[in-house]
Amino acid sequence: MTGNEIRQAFIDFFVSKGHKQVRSSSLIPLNDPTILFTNAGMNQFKNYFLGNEKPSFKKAVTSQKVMRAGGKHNDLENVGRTDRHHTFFEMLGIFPLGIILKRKQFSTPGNF
Amino acid sequence: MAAENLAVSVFRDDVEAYSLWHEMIGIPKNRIAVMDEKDNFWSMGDTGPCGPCSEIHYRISEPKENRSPKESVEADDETYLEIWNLVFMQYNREAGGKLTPLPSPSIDTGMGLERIASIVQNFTTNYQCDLLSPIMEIVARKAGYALNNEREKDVSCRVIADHIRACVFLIADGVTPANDGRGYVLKRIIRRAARHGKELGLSPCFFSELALDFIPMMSQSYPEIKETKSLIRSLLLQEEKRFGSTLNQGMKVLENLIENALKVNKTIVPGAELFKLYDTYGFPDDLARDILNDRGFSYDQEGFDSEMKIQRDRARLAQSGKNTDLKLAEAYLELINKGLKSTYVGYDQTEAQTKLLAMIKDGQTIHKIKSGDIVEILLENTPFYAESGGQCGSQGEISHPDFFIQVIDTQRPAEGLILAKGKVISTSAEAQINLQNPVVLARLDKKKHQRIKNNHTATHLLQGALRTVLGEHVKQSGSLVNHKKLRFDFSHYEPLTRDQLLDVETIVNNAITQNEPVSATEMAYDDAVRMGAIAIFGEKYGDQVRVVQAGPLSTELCGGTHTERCGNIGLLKILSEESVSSGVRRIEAVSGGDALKWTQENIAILENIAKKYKVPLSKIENRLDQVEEQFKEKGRQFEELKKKFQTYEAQKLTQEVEEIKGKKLLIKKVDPDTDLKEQAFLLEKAIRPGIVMLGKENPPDKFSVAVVASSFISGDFNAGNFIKENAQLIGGKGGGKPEFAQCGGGNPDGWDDFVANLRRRVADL
Repeated sequence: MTGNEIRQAFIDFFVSKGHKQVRSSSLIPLNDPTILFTNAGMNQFKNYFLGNEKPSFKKAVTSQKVMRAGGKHNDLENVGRTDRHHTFFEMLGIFPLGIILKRKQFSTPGNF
Repeated sequence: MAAENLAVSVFRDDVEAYSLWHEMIGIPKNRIAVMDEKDNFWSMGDTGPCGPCSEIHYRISEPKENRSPKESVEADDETYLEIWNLVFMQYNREAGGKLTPLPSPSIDTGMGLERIASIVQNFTTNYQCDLLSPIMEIVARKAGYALNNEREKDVSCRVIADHIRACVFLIADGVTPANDGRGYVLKRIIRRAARHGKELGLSPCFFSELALDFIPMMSQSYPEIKETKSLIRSLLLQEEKRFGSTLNQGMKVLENLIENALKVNKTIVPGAELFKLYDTYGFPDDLARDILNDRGFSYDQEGFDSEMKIQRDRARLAQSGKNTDLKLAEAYLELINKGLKSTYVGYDQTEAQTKLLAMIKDGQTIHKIKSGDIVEILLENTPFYAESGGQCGSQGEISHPDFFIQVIDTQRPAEGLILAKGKVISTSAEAQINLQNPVVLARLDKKKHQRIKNNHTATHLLQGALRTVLGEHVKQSGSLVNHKKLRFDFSHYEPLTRDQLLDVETIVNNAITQNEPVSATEMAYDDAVRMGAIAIFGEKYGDQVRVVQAGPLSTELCGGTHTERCGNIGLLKILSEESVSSGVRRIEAVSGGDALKWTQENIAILENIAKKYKVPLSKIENRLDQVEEQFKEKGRQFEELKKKFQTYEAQKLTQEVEEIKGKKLLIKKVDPDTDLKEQAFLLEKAIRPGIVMLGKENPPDKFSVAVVASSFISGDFNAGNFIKENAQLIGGKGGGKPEFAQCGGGNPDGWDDFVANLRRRVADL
């Protein structure tokens, strides 16, 4: 399975489970001076977590462009020397919004 | 994946997660690792949402030292690899570190694509998966190297493969190399890649070429990288070239540091200097280390690190000064929680008869107003456009039989929360008015609004023209549209030529003359992209977008208000074009009546000039060339005369030569506008051999002295030393060479002593 196929399969799987596919946000965080770069899939949903905005969907799936160089999650100096660190990578993520049911969430990754 | 290869970890205080794994999913206790904050408490940044997390790990190698899965994960001995992270977003970390419960706790869960791909594809490192290995192979091939033979070369290939991905995506999202912020990180990444390319012996422009190889690999999923291809290539190329000269410059500085250390018999360069080399000159620290090691120097890592820490702390301090707590003001949250929302009706209405839903003053919801209050007003239907996408907030008025409010700005702190900000101008006879959702009449300032609409459409046409003239890489990176002017920032790597600017202006004005209607259509994002609509860097778009089309020249995603027909713009005049940062240009322009006025005013200036020179406007350039030539000629004549005059003056002065013990001496206080040095040398030539000392006042209260001594006697008399010793007489400092020296100070009264000392000194020779 190629990387491109894995990305698609992940999104298709969760869309079939009722998740809404949301496009990756920009690496430049929108209206957020607390971070230098988008560093996680949840960044674009931050306002929902904080209660500043109400989402029009209950759960989302994304493949998010992420940078971890500069700021809190800074891996630049490790890159190349370790097997797993990157400056840029893609984060496959799912986001049940406003539902705090730990119980339910535990079965999700196993299914995929 | 086989279940027996999985282990999980939980945050030590998260009893709930532990019991769920154990009891509900049935994971044995020896497969559940218990971790502390460092590993299992996730925070987005220094502030913002955070919470405990639970990770799923996958076994990638044989157990070490008979450890159980729990022990392996806790020891982080690389037997297990984290593949899935569940973050329970429960808290908001406020500035200052305090944790408060989130109003809407949620879960953020997922996995890194490269990591999971490497596992699915049965590899032991991310770099072997098909998202990265093809890039490494291209790099290795270009370097004439076969992968997996030398550790250091493999590392270089990895660094380059990783960095090209980062650079391509950063530039595609609007980041350009700079000396601070995001641009600085991009610059460092490019330079780190260039440094490794150098190690591999790749050509100096390999990195920008590699971008072209890489882009097709991912443009299917991320079309933005294809659209910005030419910008990516030129910015990378520019930076690669700069890096070449940085290396040369840095080498010189480093050589100096080494030389200075050797002079005092040291084989260490202070860490602070090394950090400066790294930080100011962008010289790679690892390269500096290699060079120092080769020269038998030790590397002051400690000093370097401590400077780095100081800089980081400074950066953090600067950051903490900003308002990093993004939680909305209480009053706004209150409105959201009540479900109060404003609907924007300004696309086709300039006024609305509507309910006033709420009013805020000084961060508090209020129900009474009085004259002079500055308030924010939420209307059920609002014609006021909240500032966004560069278009400024609307102005206008809100009227009611009992009160009148002048609206000066409109903002939208959250989705649907369109707030008109205004001043209460008058209230009825009663001093205070109670507000119970009264129906008001909200009216836009129509004249200003029309000019804003014209300028906004003009901005779109401008972008279309720029893309026609410069290329598809041109993308909006900033914009400001108000009723007076428009300012447009866009990605482009070099200044526009005069011809390009004229072309752009002509194309826009042609489109205005064509007078095509401007249309706005709601459609699905994907359809909009398919029809070639341009999106803006960093903007967040929903599924449904609004596409604004202004003739064949422009199709853009835009939520702003636009003029009805292109012809309404009347005329566009570009006023300036300049650089904002590396890779970003800025154009300012005016339209309509403002453009006409600008043109008239400037032509009037030109006509006045022509009148002064008594020629028609069409001849003024020739005339000015002539005048300039005449002026230069007069200047040359003046210089000649001045020289003649000075020689004459000098000859006159030589008559004042005195002789002390057979040595010729000329001392004179001269005119303030004399060039001391020039005159002193002239005199010395005239009396040679001898000593000349001139002094002059520099109004209002300064004094200068210059001394010239013929080389014949400079062995005995040193002008530099003499000036140095006596400069304090006129309250100053100075010095120079044995033949010539000068000084200046604030005490003109010291001149007489200066003169006496020179005579004494010469008498002693």
